[in-house]
Amino acid sequence: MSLLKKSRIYSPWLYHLHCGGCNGCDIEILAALSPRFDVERFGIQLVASPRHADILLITGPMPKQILPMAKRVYEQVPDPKVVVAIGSCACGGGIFYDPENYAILGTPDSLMPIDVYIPGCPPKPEAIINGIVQGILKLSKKS
Amino acid sequence: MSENIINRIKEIYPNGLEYEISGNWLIIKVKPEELDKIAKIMINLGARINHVTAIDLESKGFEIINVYDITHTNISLDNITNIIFKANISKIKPEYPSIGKITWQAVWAEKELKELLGINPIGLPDSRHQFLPYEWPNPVESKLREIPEVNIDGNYLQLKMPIKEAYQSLIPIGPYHPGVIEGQVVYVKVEGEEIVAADIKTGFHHRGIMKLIENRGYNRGVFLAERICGICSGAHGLAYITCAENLFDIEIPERALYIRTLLAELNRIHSHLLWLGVVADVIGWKTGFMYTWGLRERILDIIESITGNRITYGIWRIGGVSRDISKEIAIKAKRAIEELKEEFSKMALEIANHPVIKSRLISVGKLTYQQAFNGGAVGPTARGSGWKIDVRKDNPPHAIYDQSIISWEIVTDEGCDSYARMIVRIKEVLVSTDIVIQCLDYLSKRSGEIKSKVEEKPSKIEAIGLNEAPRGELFYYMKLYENNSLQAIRIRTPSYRNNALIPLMLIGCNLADVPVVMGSIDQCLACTDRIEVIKNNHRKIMRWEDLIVMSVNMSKKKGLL
Amino acid sequence: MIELILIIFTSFFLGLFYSFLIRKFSARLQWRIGPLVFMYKDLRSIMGITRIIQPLYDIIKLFGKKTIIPESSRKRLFIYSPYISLIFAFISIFFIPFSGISLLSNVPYSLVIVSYLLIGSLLFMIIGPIASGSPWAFIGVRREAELFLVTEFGFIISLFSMAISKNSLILWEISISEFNLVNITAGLLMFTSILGKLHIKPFDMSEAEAEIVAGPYTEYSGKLLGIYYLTKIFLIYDFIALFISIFIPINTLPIYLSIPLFLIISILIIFILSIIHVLNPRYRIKNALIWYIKIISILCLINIITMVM
Ligand code: SF4
Repeated sequence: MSLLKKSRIYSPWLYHLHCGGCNGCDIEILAALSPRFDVERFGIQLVASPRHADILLITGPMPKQILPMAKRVYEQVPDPKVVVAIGSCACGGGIFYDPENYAILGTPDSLMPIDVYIPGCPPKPEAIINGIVQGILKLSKKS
Repeated sequence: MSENIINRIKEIYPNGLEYEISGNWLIIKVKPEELDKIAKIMINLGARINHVTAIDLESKGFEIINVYDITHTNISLDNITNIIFKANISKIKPEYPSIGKITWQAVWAEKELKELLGINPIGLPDSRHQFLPYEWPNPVESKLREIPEVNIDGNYLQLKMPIKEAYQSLIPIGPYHPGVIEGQVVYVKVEGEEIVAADIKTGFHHRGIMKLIENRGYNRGVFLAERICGICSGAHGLAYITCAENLFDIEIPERALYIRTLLAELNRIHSHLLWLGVVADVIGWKTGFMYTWGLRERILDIIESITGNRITYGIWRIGGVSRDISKEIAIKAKRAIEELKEEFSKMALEIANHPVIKSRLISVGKLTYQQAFNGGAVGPTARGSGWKIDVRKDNPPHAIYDQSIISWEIVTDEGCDSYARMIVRIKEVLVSTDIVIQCLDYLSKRSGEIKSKVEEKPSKIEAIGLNEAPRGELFYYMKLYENNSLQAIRIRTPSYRNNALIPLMLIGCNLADVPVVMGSIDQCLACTDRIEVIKNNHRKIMRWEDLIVMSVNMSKKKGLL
Repeated sequence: MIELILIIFTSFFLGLFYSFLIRKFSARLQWRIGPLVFMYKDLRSIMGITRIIQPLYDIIKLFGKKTIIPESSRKRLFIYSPYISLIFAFISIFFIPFSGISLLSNVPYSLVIVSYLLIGSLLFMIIGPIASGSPWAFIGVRREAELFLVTEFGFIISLFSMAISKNSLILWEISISEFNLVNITAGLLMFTSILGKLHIKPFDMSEAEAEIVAGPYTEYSGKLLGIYYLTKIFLIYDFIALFISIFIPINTLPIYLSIPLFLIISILIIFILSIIHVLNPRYRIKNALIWYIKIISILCLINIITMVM
């Protein structure tokens, strides 16, 4: 493995994009940073600007109002990048899915390519870390 | 004293007043033209608006519902806690005089009526959209693309900036900003680093929850209610259940009540700890964040051992709860909580006395008692301004909060700033641990039923339910059709009220304080943006391709893209 | 000559090690583990064996990413200032003595050269973001510039009070001169300035992520961001080496003693910095300026008094 690919695996930076979820998933993501789960052991960091990120974490059922902004954030993440959809909401609308529901898109699929889906409402931090690791492995294969 | 309110209202209605008493509520039918006069009387008497909303009665027009809380006034009507005023208006001319021009408490609620139902409160001071993008048409005035000019004169709180400035303003904080996870836009105009004007736009999390609950019926709604907000999911569950149980006449078993109290208080502890961590993070103190989030994990462990879930509990049922607590778990949990209390009280002292924290929080985001009262602040935000309101005492939900059975007290602080709000929350954590310990004591010693039978048919057709969420008063209103299916549900969350006060608190602050002020009221936008009342026939207006174009334009105009 | 080539690697790896240590110490002080020194056995095949050079991985990764150059920026300034900043920080390593090895520090006026190089490097760290055209970067830069001015005041006074009391403008001569009271007072002054220059909390307001996104670096991505990180690594080394060589008299010792001593002292300094970093929330820029002006003027006064005596 080349050093570049290795360092991609070793230093994934996350940007957390909240797309209208209930906060349940979001606090579980933050819990993964807290002392008990401490993802910094593996060099994972949460960054403040999408321009610095490698992995985009998406939570929530994508309300239509936030779509342009979400797409914009996705475009701002420099290549190579990986998108991880966290929670049942981001995987397909979850509990908010209803054919009648005009307010949400349900899943960001049509907006951006998703690499990893983590179902659960909310998934536990362990599951989130596992999903991020899958994302990292995918990231190392991208050029 | 008891006839006071009736008499005053009788001045407006000399020929008899139509009223009825249902449970703890007095329901009065009035004419829509009188709503603002009544509001003036009520506000002068010291009453507080719980919510202003409306229900679509289909062919019969709209029914405007104003709910007032009178527990903190000297009106005493036996055991009446809330007065509900109702007025019918027609669909052809859906208008009534705005209450928003009397008090700021109703402005956001009336904006919601306007943008989502198409009801026009005449004289509403700020008629821009709050939850939909500014450019979206109101459902009724579908051709209206222009933004109405905003009248900035008024004799109460000046919270907004003129619309033109809102577009030109220098710094949009959001929709994505690391200080607040959730999407919202706060426009601040700065001179140097001092803020001279501020404006807030929410609504990016509009998910249509109320509509979904209406479609699914009141039995299944509780799971959605819990997912309005994942942080205060317990509080939402309890409020929903309280509201739904008020429709029936049921006796809830004591053990179930204790379990509910236990979970609601654990929820509060976890939420306040989370808040402390977030504020610590916002003022750049990563250690504080790590510490409180580390403590919080232990609370989540207890919750997980009781309910099986960490965030959403899923054990609330009409008539009780669905899971019991075994003796071993109760004893174990009690030990864990006692340890946590000891550790936290030590650390809380350190936090409260840290010089840099003090310098960052003291006199930041000032909110005086009068402003809090006029603006309708709730929860720790109001209590931090010395206003002693707490739904758990005034208007208790269906759990054990009787101060003669469980000893607890309302925490207030006179500081009126972010620091005071922090102190209130820290003390509340300690109070809540006390309640939790008492509940666990009971649960580990006794046993009993946890769920009582519910009749098929509800006995009332409408009910309200309140609960003190970690962020403040939570309000649910339900109305049933004749055939007992759910006609409408209205939810008013605490952040809905407190967010409306943000622009006021921001003025005069330093730019560095913006996230602190926003954090200090613990705003939860997932809560705020839950509304949906648009009927199907308006849906084609909002085809989503159009919306994208519109939203992109909006963002461009604001310089977001 | 061989020393000059060796110092490039030494300074680079020491800089990496120091920034790793800051991360590790802060994590340990926050009840966390931080980047692992020994990876768990079953994960070694994927996650590597050690993370001591975690900052290096970050930088290499950034070099492998696409660089986005915003439309609204002034392109040339935006692109070149990170490089210039890096060059300044890089050149200054040659002029700072490293534990008893003089390198280029015995050229005339080396003290002035070093102070100019360090100022230049920091200046270009400020100028680049201004060119990016982002409001956040602008606010961040404004804070950074204010902080830069006050810290520079203490920095320069401390350097030149040493020069006056040792009666020399050559860094090497200062570093081998006798230890006296001015070393302590000027050292304190220098230490407070370094806090601000390395953005140790409570003085990291220019990168305050909850307030102004990523501050000056909001618009930087990919390679250019990597260059800035690289610059920071050299700067950490620069400041710590400068501090030790001027204020702590280890340069007169034989090399086999001075190198371990250098390492021990530098780790100690990093440890103290991490403790300060962990214990404090961040100041508002106004409070920070007031704090600095207060502390620096007091320290300056004491410094001058000791110098006169
Ligand atoms: S998946 Fe569940 S917990 Fe996550 S945002 Fe959606 S509703 Fe909330």
